[in-house]
Amino acid sequence: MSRLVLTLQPGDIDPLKLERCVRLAAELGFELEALIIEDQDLLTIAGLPFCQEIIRHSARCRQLSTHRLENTTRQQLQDLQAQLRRLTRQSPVPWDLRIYRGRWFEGLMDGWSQTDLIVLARGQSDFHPRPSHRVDTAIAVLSAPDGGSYRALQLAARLARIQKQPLLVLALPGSPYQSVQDLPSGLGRLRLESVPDDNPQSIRRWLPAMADTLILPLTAIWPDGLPAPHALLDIPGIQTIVVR
Amino acid sequence: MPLQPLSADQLYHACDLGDLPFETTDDLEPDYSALGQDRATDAVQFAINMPHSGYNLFVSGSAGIGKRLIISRIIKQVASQGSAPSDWCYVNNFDEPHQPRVLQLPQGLGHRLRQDLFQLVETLLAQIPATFHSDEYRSRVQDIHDEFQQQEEEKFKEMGQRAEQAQLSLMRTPHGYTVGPLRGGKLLTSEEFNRLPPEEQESIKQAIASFNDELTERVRQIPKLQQQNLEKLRALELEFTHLAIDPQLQALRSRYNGFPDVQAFFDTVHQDMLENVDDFFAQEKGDNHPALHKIARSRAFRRYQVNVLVGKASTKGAPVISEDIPSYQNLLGRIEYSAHMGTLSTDFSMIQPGALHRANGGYLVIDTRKLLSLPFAWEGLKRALRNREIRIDPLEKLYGMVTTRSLEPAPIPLDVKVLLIGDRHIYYLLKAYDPEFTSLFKVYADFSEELERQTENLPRYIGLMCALCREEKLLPLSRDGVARAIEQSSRFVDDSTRLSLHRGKIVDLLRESAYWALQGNKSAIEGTDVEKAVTTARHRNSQYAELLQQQIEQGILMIDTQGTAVGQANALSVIQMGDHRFGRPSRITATARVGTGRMVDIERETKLGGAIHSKGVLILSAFIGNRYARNAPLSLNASLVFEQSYGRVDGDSASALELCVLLSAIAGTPLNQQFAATGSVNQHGMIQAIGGVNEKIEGFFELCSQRELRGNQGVIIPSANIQHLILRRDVVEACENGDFHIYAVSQIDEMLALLSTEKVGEPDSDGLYSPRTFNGKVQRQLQDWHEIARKQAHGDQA
Repeated sequence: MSRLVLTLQPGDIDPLKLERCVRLAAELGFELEALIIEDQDLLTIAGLPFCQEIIRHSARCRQLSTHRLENTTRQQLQDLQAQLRRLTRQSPVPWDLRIYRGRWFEGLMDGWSQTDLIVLARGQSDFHPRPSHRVDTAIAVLSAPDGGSYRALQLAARLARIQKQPLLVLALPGSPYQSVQDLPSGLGRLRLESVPDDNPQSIRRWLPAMADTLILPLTAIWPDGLPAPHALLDIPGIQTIVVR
Repeated sequence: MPLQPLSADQLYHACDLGDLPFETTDDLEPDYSALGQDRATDAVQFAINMPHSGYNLFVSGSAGIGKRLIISRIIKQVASQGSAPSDWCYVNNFDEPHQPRVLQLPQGLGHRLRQDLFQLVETLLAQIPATFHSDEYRSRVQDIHDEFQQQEEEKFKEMGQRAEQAQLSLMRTPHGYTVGPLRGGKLLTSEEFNRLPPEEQESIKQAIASFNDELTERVRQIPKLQQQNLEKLRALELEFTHLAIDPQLQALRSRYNGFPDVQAFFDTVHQDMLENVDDFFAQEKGDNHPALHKIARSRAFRRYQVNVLVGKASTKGAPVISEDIPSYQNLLGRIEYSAHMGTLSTDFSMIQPGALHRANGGYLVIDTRKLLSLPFAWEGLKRALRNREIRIDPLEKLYGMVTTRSLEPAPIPLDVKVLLIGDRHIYYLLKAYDPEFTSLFKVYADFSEELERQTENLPRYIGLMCALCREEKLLPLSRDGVARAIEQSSRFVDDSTRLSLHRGKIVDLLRESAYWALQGNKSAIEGTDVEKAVTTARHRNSQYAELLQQQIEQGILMIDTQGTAVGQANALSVIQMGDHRFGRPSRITATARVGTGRMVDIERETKLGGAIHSKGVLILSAFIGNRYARNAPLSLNASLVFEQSYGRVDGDSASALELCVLLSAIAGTPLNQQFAATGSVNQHGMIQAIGGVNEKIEGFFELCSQRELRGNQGVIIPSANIQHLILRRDVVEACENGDFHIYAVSQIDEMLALLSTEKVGEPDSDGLYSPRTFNGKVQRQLQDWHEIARKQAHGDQA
């Protein structure tokens, strides 16, 4: 069965995003794997007695400890289990929960061949203020000159329909879609932006003002087919979904 | 010399059209003027043209006289040249929603303003989201985000780079941030750290502590920076809101330049839109996407709408409104409520206009009887006229029945002429008992019922009939048809010297005459058709009269038309059944004997006699005393009665005959039964005019003709009633043939001369009458009774 993997970091569970993923998995008929990535580096420095944690919301300083980190992860696991049970009652989906200690793209390797969809719940910066609620944010999809782009486009259109958002097609040079007329019909409200080059940095700058989700064809960012860090995967304010 | 009967031309005033040049009324110009109503129409014109307040009008006249039609013509003609009324609108008061504001606009602008505001909202429903979806807005938002990002994220990045240079790593934790030591690009484990020299360990600790301090300070700054960013975003949103709204509103402002109230309203709308701009994104929520024009007219944007209370772009001139049901709410307007989940709510859009609103700047016509019969309507109207404003106050609030807060719409200045139409007696009642009435309705227009039947009026009267024929789409009248109709018009008013101005009756006569003309396949209404209309109408309503006649014929009701009798004679009364009148003969009898001077009116004793009748009987006592017993008290007891009368009797039209009957009873002298008489008598024996003379004569004539006319029968009437005679053709013909006679008298002795079988007699210089005369016998009998009474009184004393 195809799988949708939702990667999470400790302290990083957004109930709305979780619900979105559950509904998406139910729509697509995929099984859902919630993958909590425990940063090994954190655990490493948590062993040092002088390392402090500066709390984000209060600026208070406290001891960073392995015990606290593990407690946080355990608590998050329980919360996640409860939420997934509740959500999958409304949208029945087979689901699984896994914790991986290490880097996130290494955690994806387990069951990589069954993974069709990766939702990266990273990239929400504390320093990136929420866009105005009046901005009609879109579901953005990268259209690259490869076959995977069509599937990504279909998924993006589906997601846009579910969430009642417009669709924004980012056409890289060589994409088969260089104008709106080139696009298949029935995609709903959409807009096409031609990206003059495939430099990710230019997209990072203006995309957050227009979209809150970016769907990437796997082959566009991982040409060798294996997960790895990429500049388009942690754009502040953007949830990234990678489609095989 | 014996009294002569009236001649045929005295019994019927035929219409002589003389040299008037026409064959039918189609040859004439119709007269649509208010013939014979100069007094009333002058009053109407005066009231209309008086610019001051309080000069409202009360119009009176009989029903069917045509006063509504005439007034309507006058007012419409004046109103058509008047200035068009203003449009009046209610709008939301954003500061005090329960006190809607009022806007006055030139005619036609009210609806335009309403439409413009719908259009404004509809435009903004598209424009505001589009503005915020525009690339420019996104780009400006991005600029603010970039600015923030540059301020903070870059600094954290810079801090991270410095940390890396200091062999430290800045990392995120589940709840915040931390700094850890690096060696060779890798984080130091605790074991590796412990293996380091103490100085190096200390150095690392200090570096980490220093970075932690800096990091703490940075984290503290974040909320402030976020707040600043938020404020910049808000300012940007406000700027774009202005960009979206201001041009649209400015276009409206320029269109309504010169209307300060409207401009003030636009100011409040502008402010409210700025504060509630989120409402314009509402259509993006939910699954349904209704059309923008429907959203613009929905409840969500009702506060921007305009309630056009009065606004008729197509009306020219001043308004003329006739309110058929002048209730309080129909006159002054009302506030409607909508029910939702058990509660009632309202707003400015639920204010409904009343007749005063619609007539503002013009004229309002109201039926007085209806106005006074509907609760609170009269008081409400007076209040509006007195204060010269229309204030919509719910009745339940006005009278303290409900204490919940309702709307208090701003009052509207009132400038209206009110025309009340009603009966004369209502006018005089209001004058007597309502002090406000006189100050608010200073002009009285009294419509006439009749017109002089003079030669100079005839052409116009014929013109009126011509107009009525044309309005009713009837056949024209021929010359003799006109003549007969004019004669019948005089009969309507019981006066051969006058014509009826009762349009209703004239129209009915013309319609029915036309019907008979069409039945006869004629092209014009002839005199015979008019006659037929009159006779068939009489026949339709005469069943009761015929039943009475039958009772007389059967002897159930005893009336003699031949012979003589003492203390008995035939009186005449008129019975009114709906709009049909007929004469009814009845017997009056009297008895007399010695007594104390008491005159018993049996009708009065049994409470069947009205006050006027009783007054007439008392006058008889005075006459008798004055004529026959000036030097001695009256020593008789007498009684008078209308035999076989079991209903109420009023009026004094039989008092002359009652006197004759009483004198007959006193004298013991019989009276002729072939006559019937009518007339009122005063204390000096003068015969006074009475009403219904034609019906009375015809009633007795029908009785006599049914029993076969003997040639000596007739009716005695007052001379003052000669001008009222318009008798039926058969009566006139019988009189012409000598089979029936009509006598007119002006003195009681003249009536006695006809009724009595003896000579009436003249008084000498001492006031004494010859004993062989009628008067002498009366006088003698009274003296005898006086003597008897005196002796009885002395005998008692002895």
